[in-house]
Amino acid sequence: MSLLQLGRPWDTIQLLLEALPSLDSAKVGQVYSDNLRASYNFLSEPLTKQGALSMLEQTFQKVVSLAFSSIEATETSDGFALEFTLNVSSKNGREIRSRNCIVASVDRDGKIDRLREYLDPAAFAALDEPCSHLPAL
Amino acid sequence: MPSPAGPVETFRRYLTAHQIFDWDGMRAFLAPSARMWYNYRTDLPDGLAAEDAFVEIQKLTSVLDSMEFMFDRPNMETDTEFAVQLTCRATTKSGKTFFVPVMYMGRLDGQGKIAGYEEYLDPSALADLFGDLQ
Repeated sequence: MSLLQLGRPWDTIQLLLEALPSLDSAKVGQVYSDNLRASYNFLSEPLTKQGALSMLEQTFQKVVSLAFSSIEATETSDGFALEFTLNVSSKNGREIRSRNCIVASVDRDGKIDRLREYLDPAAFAALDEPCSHLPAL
Repeated sequence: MPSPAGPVETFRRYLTAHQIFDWDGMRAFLAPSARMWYNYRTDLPDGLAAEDAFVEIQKLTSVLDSMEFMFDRPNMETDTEFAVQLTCRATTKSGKTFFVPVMYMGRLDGQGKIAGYEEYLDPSALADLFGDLQ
């Protein structure tokens, strides 16, 4: 039996925290239900699974590595709440640290079917800044 | 001893005092050592003590005409912890209205008082508010 089939929030958290640093959106997709609705505090409308993975894929293309630290997880009646610090090294040479919070519900198969993420998107603006490896012209 | 009202209800009452700018009402729900942390204050990695946070909150809300916390999302709790999601609707004295999704993660102490919380939001949604402060 796979961890996902156990349907326990702690296993889902573990899988999510392993999938995101892989920078592989397909692997993240294995943790999301096909019925996912994902809301982000910087977007006015929720995204489908495809939309959420597409946004992640665009971000991953700008990233060299992604790691979590200072993780605090709380089990809820239908899922979990997760606070964490995201440490990102970007391809343009920036180091980004952002404290984020996710609230998620988990379906019977252990997959996330409702996700709300809260963060300060200004922290990620550095992903789109000019490459710091190149000398100024 | 856990709060008889429960963590979410205790925090909702705190926010109810907040939205009518009842500072003493808010203090009544806080532990003496309560600390608040804000995701957009990267200059304050350890957050603020309650009275210091109140100075900041009072400054921000000084340009508001009204504020309402709309509990339009699911809230969760354990015996002592809460996760409260809401949308804050606020109107400035200059007539601008904005809506901000906010997430609070927090905890109560053994006396049922709020020991601290973390506030997560997108500060760009508050641009009108910050503009009125200048």
